[in-house]
Amino acid sequence: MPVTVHTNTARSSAAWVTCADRVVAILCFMARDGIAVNVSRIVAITVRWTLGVAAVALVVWAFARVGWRELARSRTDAGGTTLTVLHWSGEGGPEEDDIVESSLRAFEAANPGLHVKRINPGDAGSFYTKLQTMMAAGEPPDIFYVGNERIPSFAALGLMEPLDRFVAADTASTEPGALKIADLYPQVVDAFRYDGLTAGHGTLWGIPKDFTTVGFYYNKDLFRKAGVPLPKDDWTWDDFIATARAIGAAKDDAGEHFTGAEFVTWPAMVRAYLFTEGRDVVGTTFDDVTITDPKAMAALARLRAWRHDEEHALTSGRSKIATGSAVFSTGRVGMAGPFGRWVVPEYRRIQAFDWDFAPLPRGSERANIILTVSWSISAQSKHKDDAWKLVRWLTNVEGQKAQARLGLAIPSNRAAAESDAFIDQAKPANDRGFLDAIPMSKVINWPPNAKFEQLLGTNLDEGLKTGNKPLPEAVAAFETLWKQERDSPLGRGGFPVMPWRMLTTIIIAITAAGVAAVVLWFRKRPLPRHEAREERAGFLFASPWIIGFAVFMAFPVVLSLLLSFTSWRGLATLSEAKWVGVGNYQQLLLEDSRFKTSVAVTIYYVLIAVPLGQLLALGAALLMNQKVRGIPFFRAAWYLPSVLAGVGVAVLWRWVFDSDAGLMNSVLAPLLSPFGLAPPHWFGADAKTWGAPAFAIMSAWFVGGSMMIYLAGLQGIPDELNEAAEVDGVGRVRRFVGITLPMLGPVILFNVLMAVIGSFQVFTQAFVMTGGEPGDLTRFYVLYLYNQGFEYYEMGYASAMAWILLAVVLVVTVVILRSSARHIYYEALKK
Amino acid sequence: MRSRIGKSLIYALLIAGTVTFLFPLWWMVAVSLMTPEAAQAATVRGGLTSLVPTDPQWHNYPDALMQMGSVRWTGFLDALANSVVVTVLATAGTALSSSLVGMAFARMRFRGSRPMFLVMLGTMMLPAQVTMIPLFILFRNLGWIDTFLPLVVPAFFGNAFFIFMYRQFIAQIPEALLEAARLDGQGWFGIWWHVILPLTRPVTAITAVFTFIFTWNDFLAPLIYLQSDDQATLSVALNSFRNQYGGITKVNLLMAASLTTMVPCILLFLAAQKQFIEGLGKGAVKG
Repeated sequence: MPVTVHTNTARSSAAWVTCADRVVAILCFMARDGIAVNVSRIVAITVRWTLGVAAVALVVWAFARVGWRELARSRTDAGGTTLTVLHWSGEGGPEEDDIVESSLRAFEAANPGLHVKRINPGDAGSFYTKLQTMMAAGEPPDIFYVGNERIPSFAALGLMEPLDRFVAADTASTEPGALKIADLYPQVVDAFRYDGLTAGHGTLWGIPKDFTTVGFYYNKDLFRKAGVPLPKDDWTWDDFIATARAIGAAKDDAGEHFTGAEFVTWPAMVRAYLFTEGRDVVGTTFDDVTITDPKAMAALARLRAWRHDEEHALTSGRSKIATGSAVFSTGRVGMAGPFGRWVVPEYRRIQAFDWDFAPLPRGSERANIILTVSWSISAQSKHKDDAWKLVRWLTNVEGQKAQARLGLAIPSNRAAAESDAFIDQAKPANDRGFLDAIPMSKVINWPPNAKFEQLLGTNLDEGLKTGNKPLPEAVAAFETLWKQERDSPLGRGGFPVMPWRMLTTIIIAITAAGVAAVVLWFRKRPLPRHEAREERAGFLFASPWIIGFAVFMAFPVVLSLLLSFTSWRGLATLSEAKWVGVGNYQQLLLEDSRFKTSVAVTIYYVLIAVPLGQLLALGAALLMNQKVRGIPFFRAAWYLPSVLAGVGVAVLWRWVFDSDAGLMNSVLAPLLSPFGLAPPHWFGADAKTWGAPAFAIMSAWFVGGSMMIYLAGLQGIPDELNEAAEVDGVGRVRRFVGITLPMLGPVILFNVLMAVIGSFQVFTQAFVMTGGEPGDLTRFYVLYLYNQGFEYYEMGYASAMAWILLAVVLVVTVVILRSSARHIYYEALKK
Repeated sequence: MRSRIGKSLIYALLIAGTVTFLFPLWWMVAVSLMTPEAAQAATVRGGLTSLVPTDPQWHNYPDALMQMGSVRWTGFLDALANSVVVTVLATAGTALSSSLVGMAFARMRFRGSRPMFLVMLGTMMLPAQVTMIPLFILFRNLGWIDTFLPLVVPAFFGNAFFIFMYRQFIAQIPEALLEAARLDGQGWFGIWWHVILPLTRPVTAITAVFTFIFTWNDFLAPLIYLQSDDQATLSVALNSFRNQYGGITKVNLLMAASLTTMVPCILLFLAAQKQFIEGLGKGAVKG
């Protein structure tokens, strides 16, 4: 192998290449003599055997372990009452998990005959999905966490037991362990009162396990570097922005600017910010939008200007990763907030700099908000008295002290909060700052309709965070959409209950009649013996699918079709569903502007992702079908990304498409700059054009699956065809068009159909990476469907969306099948 | 000379693709071996310079696995055993049933097969999110909640995607081969066993690998149907792990745990690759 090296400076590398050449030559020599072949074969066989034996051992071990456990479980069937507890452990981590666990074990020891089964799905999102399925199926846990923002919607659905009678009985009681509600901060308890209209009054729905007020965490080292004074508890927004500007003006040793502050624009935090100016986004009844009030608008405009008209004062919000609590840990941001106490366990791991906490700055007044989570009892619990015993056990002083030591939580029990369990030596030094804000704190009032929060959040994102809409426009969009939501005929109620019993009877009757009709039809048209035998065999072979379809598909599908004509809050049981006729479809097709956006975004994505993905997959398969050395390695390498899944990949991709520091733009920027172009802010200001394509590019990374199917198809084409054509002097291109493509026809059809169906259902990536943001610009169809069904609990509406999707995809499929029928060559498919 | 240029072009493409495709894995491996501070810098600040761990922290792996679940090591071992059991059963069930049904749709004449085939295609288009709650109601009434049954039993009734794939491949097998088997006195089952199964080995390999990977990584179904701590599969355990260490401060442990859960999928693919390559019954078609 001739290697020519022209430059002198490369002499050493030339020597290396010569050396490598020699090694290759020796290897070739050995191979010719069969030595290397033998060695490599022995190695390969050893590896294969080791892996095989390990795999078998793993499977045997797994079955043994699981089998043993199941046996042991069936033998120990505990008597007595079992209470089910559902909670999450979020930022509290395994320590919070351990504390709840040991507290429950202590409860069992103190209450013989009572058993507790604990379920912890992990984060709050998984928790609410789990809670919803348990509720909908009529099997709710006895006690569970509820965030105070969900109290109105849960109360409106009658999911929780009112706790006033237990509290009254305990207040009168002298029994040890009785809960004295006066021991808790009244402002925190009030967060769980709801009278059907406003939070803070009326019936008590939960006992707070902990709470937090909010403020800014600040990097003391950066304050020192910028020469600005540390914040005091009664600092103002003017102090805040002056400090942010000073820190933003400072530079690190490499001459790079620091950033003054990260200011999150979550709905609750923006409302807290407006509270400091004595304003809110809506009035108490949620009918009157007050966000357009001049003083409120001025405050929002000020925030937008800080962020977008100044350099380095506030984070721009363009970047997807470096937002939220995480950005503070990098040490490059002076302040981050408004956050509650929940970031403390994470920040305590910071070694690189010193930090502390300051409550929310004041505007025209000092204000703050209380965010809290309760233990609540299910209205359907069969053991409410025992459940109450458990609730007060879990919220007692000792339990709260244990939680407080984690740093995560502020005890709702005043004695525990004032104790050294909370006011401790660990950071932040200003533990008191959280408590002193309580008297000036408000309970944030949320409506039962969960869409309020998301509508507000999405539009604030566009107006304040990414800034791709002028503020008045974003606010106006929120106002219109919320008004639309309020005026929706579906929201008004007064619909009749679904007649489930009658429907079930009708469906059973129709099914029976249908089966009878089919049987009769077959009886009337007997086949010749030979064909009848083939038909029997056909049904026998297809029977797994036929049975599976009837049980696991037809039932859910029919149920979801029926649900699409109902208004059913997916948290209540099915019997609560109301018949609305075609109301859902009407609303979707005629009124819902977010539905239209999601359709447009999805079609845009399908049109890019399907051709891109299929061309790439086919090209890759052709490449992989070449007979060159090392091809198994390349095949494996190209397929690998398709195996990777889960959270790690999500973290990676968020980073790849990050506008500022992301890999994609780091690569693109030097390539584009000669043409005077800049790479797009994928999920930021350019999301309208580049958001969906970014997901299409990402999906191209996972072509491995389609590639493998194409490859299997290519391998199925008999070599004789190509060889014969080659002998006849047919060129490469004509052979591909004339032989390969037609032979591959059925496989291409399969892959294209699957890609179309899959692309219409694109969900997971968007769910994990952007959650549909900014605005609704990456809110794909199924993501919006998921939001409706599992975040707003509108299962009826979501079912209608699913059926519209089903109809669209079915039409597209039939069109593709029809138009392809003429072009596809099947060896022997019987029509 | 032309073929040499062609060959170098092929290699150039192969290598460029490999770099692109292997990048995610490299990145995850690199981050999983970093100290918490370095990993955080790599994920937040980016830049390619930070992608070579100078001081690999191998102990990240045992550290991460040990902390899964509420009891040290037990959480990980339970989740591993559960994932293996569920995945092995679901994979075997899917391959077996899908190949039978695919053969029926491709090669057997029975009335109603075409409409049924279209209905089957239709089932693929319904987003899983919608059948989720009806299915939960069904499984609860069957008393299957908190068991592996909802995750395993449906697999034995075929999967529309793989039935379709088997059907597309089986439809291409020359009729002469089936006829020959028939002349040898084979019934339908014999044809399936002696002709179809060997000839569709690549499809079976693909089905096995895809089902394995899907079941192994599936998160929503185990989250909903399993309740007890010791029943959790790896993906559920990994998700709780993420929430406990998800803050970017421990992204290195998160990557170590994620990578470990992916190892079986990677090994299975490497093992099954041979099946793809040997091709769709080449010998049989030739002979």
